[in-house]
Amino acid sequence: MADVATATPKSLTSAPLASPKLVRNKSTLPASTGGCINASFGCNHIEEFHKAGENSFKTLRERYEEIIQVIRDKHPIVLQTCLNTKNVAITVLRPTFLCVQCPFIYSEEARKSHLDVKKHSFCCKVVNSRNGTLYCSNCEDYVYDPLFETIRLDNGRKRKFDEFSEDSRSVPPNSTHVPCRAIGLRGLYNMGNTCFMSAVIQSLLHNPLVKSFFLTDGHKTGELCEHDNCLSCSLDEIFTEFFSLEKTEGYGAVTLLMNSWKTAEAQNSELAGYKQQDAHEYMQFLINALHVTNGSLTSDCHCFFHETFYGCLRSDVICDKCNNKTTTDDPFLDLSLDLRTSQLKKKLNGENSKGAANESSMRLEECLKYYTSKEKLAAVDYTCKKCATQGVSTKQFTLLQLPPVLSIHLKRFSHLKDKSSKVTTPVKFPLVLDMMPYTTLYHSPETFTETSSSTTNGKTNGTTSDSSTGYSALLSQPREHWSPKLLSYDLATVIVHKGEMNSGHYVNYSREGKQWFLFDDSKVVLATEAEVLRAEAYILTYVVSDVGKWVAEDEGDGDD
Amino acid sequence: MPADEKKKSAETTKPTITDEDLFHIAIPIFDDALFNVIQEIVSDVHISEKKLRMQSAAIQAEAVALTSAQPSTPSSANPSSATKPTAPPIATAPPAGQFNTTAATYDNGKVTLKGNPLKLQRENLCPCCKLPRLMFPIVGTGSRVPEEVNREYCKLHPFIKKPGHDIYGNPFPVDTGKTTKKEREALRKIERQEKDNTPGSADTGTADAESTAGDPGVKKLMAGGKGATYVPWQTCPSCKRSLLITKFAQHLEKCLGIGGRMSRTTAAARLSGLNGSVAGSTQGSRVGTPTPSQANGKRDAEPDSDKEDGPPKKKARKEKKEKKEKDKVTIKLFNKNGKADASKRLPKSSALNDKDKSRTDRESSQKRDRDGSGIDDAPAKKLKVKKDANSALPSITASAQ
Ligand SMILES: [Zn+2]
Ligand SMILES: [Zn+2]
Ligand SMILES: [Zn+2]
Ligand SMILES: [Zn+2]
Ligand SMILES: [Zn+2]
Ligand SMILES: [Zn+2]
Ligand SMILES: [Zn+2]
Ligand SMILES: [Zn+2]
Repeated sequence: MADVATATPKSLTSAPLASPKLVRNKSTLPASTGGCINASFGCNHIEEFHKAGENSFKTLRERYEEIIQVIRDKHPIVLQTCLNTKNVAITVLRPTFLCVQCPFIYSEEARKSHLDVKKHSFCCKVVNSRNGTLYCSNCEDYVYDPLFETIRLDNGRKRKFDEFSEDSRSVPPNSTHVPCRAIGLRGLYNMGNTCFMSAVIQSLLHNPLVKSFFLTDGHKTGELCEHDNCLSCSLDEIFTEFFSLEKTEGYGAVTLLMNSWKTAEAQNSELAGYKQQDAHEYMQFLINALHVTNGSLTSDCHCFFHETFYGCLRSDVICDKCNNKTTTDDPFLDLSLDLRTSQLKKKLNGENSKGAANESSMRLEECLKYYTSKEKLAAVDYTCKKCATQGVSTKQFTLLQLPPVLSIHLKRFSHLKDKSSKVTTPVKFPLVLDMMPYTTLYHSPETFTETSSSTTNGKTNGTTSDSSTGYSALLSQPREHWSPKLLSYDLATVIVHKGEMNSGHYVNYSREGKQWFLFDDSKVVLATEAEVLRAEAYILTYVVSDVGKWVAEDEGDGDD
Repeated sequence: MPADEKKKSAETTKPTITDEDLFHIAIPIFDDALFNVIQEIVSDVHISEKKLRMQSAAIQAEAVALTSAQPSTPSSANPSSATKPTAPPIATAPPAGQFNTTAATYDNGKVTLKGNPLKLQRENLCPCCKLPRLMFPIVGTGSRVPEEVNREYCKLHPFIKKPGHDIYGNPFPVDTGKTTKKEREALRKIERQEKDNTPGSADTGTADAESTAGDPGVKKLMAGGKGATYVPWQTCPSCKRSLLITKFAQHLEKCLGIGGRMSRTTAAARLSGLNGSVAGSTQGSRVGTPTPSQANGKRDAEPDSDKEDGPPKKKARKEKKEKKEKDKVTIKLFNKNGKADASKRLPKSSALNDKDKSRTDRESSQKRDRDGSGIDDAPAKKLKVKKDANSALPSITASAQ
């Protein structure tokens, strides 16, 4: 790396500097995304390749694409096996380097002599089987060429590169100047027991998909909206305020509160009224209302909110006597996980309880495992349709479809007959969550092989490059080889309930880029990852990690 | 069968690992793991910083080209540019000619680097307003007084970490319900003193020595948010009465005539009925609603604060509201063009054609300094959960259009 010591502080570099750019639409897109010039090449040596001719540059680009795909798809053992200084293949844990100009992988020590001897200029770094940044031996530094970085960040998916031309620099002809500070980091005033609402609104404000929906005019407001007391319009108002004004103080979400109450009252919901409310209940209510004001009331609604928040839960009940299986699929808005460990142990029902949760703390993965584990249903609860007897059966939940935004609700409020109490069990949750082990696909892949082979075959024909990440390819491999990268989710927001059952307070931790913030009503402060992970979580929001992967796979159908 | 064999052979040749062996293996593994962690952190910082410098070098070169090529700045239609004197004029075509800065060469609309931007480009420029970025917070942890305080910097500063203050360096609002009138007046006095630039008053409020807040130049750079005792007044959308925001929920309940009417149990049943499609989560997930404690209710009902600073604030608020409306109008105008042809249900980003989409992604990945996670690129994309039975896989795909 270069011998320059100062770097912009983390809080600045990781801040969503480009957020204001989201205020754009189709017609003004080149203006709002452009308007900023960048160097055409990462360094003079890449530039030389470009000058040397169309073909030499094309070869370089294609080879880089290939390397990024190798990093994406290959098992870590392949990436971590390299040639050392004696040209012997060894497997290391430390970074390795894939030469861009020849097909070999080198260790850190062997890299320099290889590049010097062979006069190869570029190689790609692999750390922990990731990264792929380009190292230039002439610069003796990593270089971040606009084109190559696009390839790297797109994970090697095919794009049309011909538009990487001069017109990518164009000064906005009619852009509205959005203040640089208007990046949505503001608090919400407590209007009297409304912290439950603030916490939920903040989690929507900092959800990249919801943000994109509102800032691109996803909901038609004003005269174009035909809904009374529309909650989408109310939320749109907050988005507009937060992402276009340079204010730093809190905001009073009066319209949203009023419309929430009016809507709730129309539904005879107890959510209306001046009292401390349950954030989980309000979140469900709000997302449901957002769906109603953006979608259709038909059973199969494809509105933005359905497609972003709703997954599908499969429940299988198997009769212990005749083995008849009854399958029901239901949509879900969030997963409600039980934290009472004694209950969970009971549910495990004689299953190997070694390593099961101790009373003091639990891991989120454990809660999910319990949620999707087999459960014995008592005879009274089940009458088999096939053998027509009331008998013992086994029930199991699995996740048939996962939404891009996965909300997990931890049942911290327990209500047993006459006694209500708060469950304070600490739950350890990860920053990156692999959801694969809880899917129907994982638990019974056989249910997919027949139905999916017919649909996925067509897909594999057209796109060879991406098929290796598709489920068709996945199913052909043994389950042990499934990569944890396949269904990984990144933590985006944590809603925390502090204090007692009846006199608690809600706060929200949300992430923008890599920086976490704590939103406590109208206060906004920086938070550390450690602080977030220590929090007494109530609702967790995870967003699917590689959004682009799914998009690219689907685009592959139509493309070439 | 093969699995059994494998297992057997593994058992027979199972090596014995002594503690000493383990010691020799574990330490290098730990070293390597730690090395990789550090590598990744350093790499992240390097990527974001070098990209910022690279872009800044280009912005600076372009600025030189714009000022040299067009000495007579064409009057801009954008009113906000009046407050941004160093922002380059809005041009439809890139200026012609070749221009040089220390870090880059501008040649007819294209910029190439002269060398490593980390060495040659000294400061970062904001891609939006083209003003230099502050490199350190101006107060609180890690703060530094900027070298040239009187320069105009991009308004997006590094976030401030200072106890009792928010990320913009503004003091936390004081719960006016909790304090007495006397205490509030004392607080206001301190606020006024902090706002004055008289050097003597600088450390009355905060006594921390590391703070740079006393510097008059720094004060000028501060976000200038509201004081700790500021509680906005709000017009009730229903009855148009003006009241403190902290009392709004309480008022609204009376104003809308809510409360006391509903039986909790029926409401609960109705709610789960309404959310019928939300099965799986509503079932069993219904938890009782925490109700406010006595103390809470009492505190909020404290009467004395309502009248004393009503009228002036009200007026200020009104002005601000007008301003806000104006701002909002500009934004809406900006978005208007696309409204007609945008699809009814999908967000506009999904209606982009491939070319635009890929450009959007590229641009955003360049601008966002931190990357890697892919999440940052997400907003440009439309997601869809596959619903058809055939592909009943947990797959998340984009809409076809
Ligand atoms: Zn080579
Ligand atoms: Zn180079
Ligand atoms: Zn509406
Ligand atoms: Zn819907
Ligand atoms: Zn049966
Ligand atoms: Zn509260
Ligand atoms: Zn700026
Ligand atoms: Zn009213």
